[in-house]
Amino acid sequence: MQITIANIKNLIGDDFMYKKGSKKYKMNHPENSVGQAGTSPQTKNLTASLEENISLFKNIFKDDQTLVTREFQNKCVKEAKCCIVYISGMINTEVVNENIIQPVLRDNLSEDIDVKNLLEALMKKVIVSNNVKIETDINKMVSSIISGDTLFILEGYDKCLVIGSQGWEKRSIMEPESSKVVRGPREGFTESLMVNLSLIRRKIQNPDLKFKFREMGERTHTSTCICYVEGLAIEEVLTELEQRLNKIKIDGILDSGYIQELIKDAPYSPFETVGAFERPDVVASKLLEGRVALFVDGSPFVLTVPFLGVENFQASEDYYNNYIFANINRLIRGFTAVTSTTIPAIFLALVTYHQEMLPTPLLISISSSRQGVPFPTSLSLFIMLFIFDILREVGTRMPGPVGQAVNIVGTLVLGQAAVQAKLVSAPVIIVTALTGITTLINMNIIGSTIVFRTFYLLGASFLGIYGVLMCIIVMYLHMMSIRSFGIPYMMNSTRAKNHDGQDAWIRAPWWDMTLRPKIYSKDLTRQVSNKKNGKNK
Amino acid sequence: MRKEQISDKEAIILIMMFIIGTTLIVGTGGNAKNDAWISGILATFSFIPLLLIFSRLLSLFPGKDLFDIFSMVFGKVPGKILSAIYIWYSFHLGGLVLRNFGEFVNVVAFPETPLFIPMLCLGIVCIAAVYLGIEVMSRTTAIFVPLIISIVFVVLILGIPQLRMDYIQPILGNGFTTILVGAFSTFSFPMAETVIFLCIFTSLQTKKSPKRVYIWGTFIAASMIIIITIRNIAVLGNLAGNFYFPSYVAASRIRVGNFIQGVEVTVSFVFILGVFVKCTVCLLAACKGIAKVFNLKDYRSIVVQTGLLMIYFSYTVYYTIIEMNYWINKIYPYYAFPMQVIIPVITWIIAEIKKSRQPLTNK
Repeated sequence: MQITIANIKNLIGDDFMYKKGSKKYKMNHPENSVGQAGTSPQTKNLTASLEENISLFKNIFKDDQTLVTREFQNKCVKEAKCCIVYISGMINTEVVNENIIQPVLRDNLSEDIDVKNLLEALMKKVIVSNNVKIETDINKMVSSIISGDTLFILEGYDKCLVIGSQGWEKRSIMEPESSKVVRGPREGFTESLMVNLSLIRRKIQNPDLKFKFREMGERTHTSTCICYVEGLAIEEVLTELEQRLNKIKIDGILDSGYIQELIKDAPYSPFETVGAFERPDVVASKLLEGRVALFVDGSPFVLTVPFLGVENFQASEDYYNNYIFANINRLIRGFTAVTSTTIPAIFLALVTYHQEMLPTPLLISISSSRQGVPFPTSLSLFIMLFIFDILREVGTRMPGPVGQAVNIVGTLVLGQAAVQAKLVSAPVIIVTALTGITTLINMNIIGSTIVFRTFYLLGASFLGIYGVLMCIIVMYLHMMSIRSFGIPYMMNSTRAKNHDGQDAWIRAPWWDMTLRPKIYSKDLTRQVSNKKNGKNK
Repeated sequence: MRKEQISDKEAIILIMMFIIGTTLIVGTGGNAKNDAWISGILATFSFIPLLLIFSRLLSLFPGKDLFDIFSMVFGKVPGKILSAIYIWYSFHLGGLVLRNFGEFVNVVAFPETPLFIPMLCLGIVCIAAVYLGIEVMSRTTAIFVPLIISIVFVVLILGIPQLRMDYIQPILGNGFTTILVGAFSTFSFPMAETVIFLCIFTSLQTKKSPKRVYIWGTFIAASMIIIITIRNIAVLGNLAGNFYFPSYVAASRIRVGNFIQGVEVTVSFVFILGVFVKCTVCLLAACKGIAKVFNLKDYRSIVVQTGLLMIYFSYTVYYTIIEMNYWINKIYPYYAFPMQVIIPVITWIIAEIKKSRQPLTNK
């Protein structure tokens, strides 16, 4: 059962799809870099004069009226003539008032202060903050002002203090709307990077959990963080992820979706090869399986690689519920993923090409309901499915109060009235409804479902059931050919070796899952066999 | 280019699908009438020595395909000539299989659709599969195998009420020679065609796997074929050999209650997947051979051309289905015999001699 690094290298070694000349990375080459990089670097440095320094900052932030400069002086210690510079809205006002201004202005400042080296003395003895450092580089000062720190400038010094005072409005930790559970933790990621990291840190309290920060986006300077468990994650995946991130030279990153698409293995595929999750428990479980996570500031969706096809059907609840019930749910998800793509195509093939497969009474009732309908079945199926997608999109985009109108249009006008007016036959409506419902169960593969459903429908309208089957073969060929960071996308779905197949189409009971999936984690042992334990009780 | 590797299980599945693919529908040993199942068994047993030779050839030269073996055993120029023969054989076989499929669709489902359309569609799927490589193809096939096996057995079980075991009698009623003729055609039509796998099995895991793969693949496929042949005879009687697609007709007789009927469409699932595998393997072998003969770096640059040629070829190779049936039953066994038996056996003998001498020359 042991697997060596050499073995892993053998398995996935040069599988990485990264190619230097490939089209996908074209825009990432340095020579095509996007415009000029962010804030233009400053050449002037701080001087000893407070006035000049203030006007220097005012000059840098010209036309930016959120910049606040506040000058003040201690009435006893005349040398303590100083100024704080910050951007309003980015700081915690209480911290600045009580921990910076108040201590410096207090009456008894002169008692224990060394006036000769005032700046350092203030830093060490007066200012109350957990994060203060002396800074000389003007560019770093500017970027720390932007990120919400407060600058403390003192008369007579050409350096200043950077005091951590970040504080802006954050969303509180809530249950994510996109993936609700009945059983299991209810917290979800927020838009704040540090909050997200703390959520993971609280789940995995282990010094092996590593965080590597990096800044991305030439203009937005979005901070991102690669997170992995050392000893579980494979180095190849980690270095490959870093390589791909290095190649990204984009002006701004507003959501992890940007990165998800930029580092994707199969750029033209409708399937995602990078996972995005909104729940800390899910990401923690991925990390424990040896995956690598990427946090992006400003996005509640955390990316994990490698991402395999079966992960689309794994809900976090599967692992918390009784395994029999969980497996029923998982099989339903897999089954509906199949039916949501094939039901309209098979229906079309049966009623137009292979009527002999239908039992006679059913055939008669279908054809009698088609009587008087002017459009061919294939056309009405295409139209109805398209209308269903419109309704779905309206449902996600519309403001709450207009919901009722959509409901009426959807159910009454497009359903009942269309059948009564003989525009479509009733079986078509039923098939559309069934397809729509089953599509909505697997929300995270909805894009590929719609693409392949249309593809199958086309196949069915040309060659009946043979066309459908050919399209299915093509889809599987495609799914088998794509890889996520060197690991086949459909990896666990065809190999039924115990530890790989244990968590694919079904979930094995926890006492049986003693090993991690082989191919993407270094250390295999998940737990010491626990079977006996349970039986004794 | 990363090295492709297929596991033994996937290779077994490939061989199994290759053998049962078309045979399950087209039927085999039609000459033997209701003794066709005996000829199936005979053919399987007579294939065993050949199978051992095939796998021995693969294990003698691990990681090498038939084209490499030819040039190593016979030298460069004779090797290329022999390679050309095999390129033609696999190209031709792929075309025939594709045509089989076209005729099937034309006869059972879409008589008014031009024959070319279904063939073109499936041909394009095959081209895509060959382009993606043997690993992707074998994994794709593997995911369909549970479906195929369950279809075969469910149809078999549903067909039990239609069985009339007295159709099988009289055993040996037509004399032994017809059985031998039937056995010969069964031997050459699905079984010995697996010689094509010599051209593509360069990516097996170990040295021992060829033997295992060949034996298990053939065993599973042969038992399925024999069971299906017995079923066909028991449902259709002496007529089984007269149908173009006996399994399809046998499945169409199934009627359980008033609801389950017309299950023959599911049988065509098996047929499409079988044709897909067989055609893809043939096309892959042809492309690999062409790449080897002309010293191309990668066979992928010629897949589309060869594949499209194969589709056109399959369109022009026969005029009618009658001609096709005549060719399959009467001419094909003799036409294929050199490629299936004579050349591999000679190659094997010479290779064994050369291998046994090699240690001496090395000293």
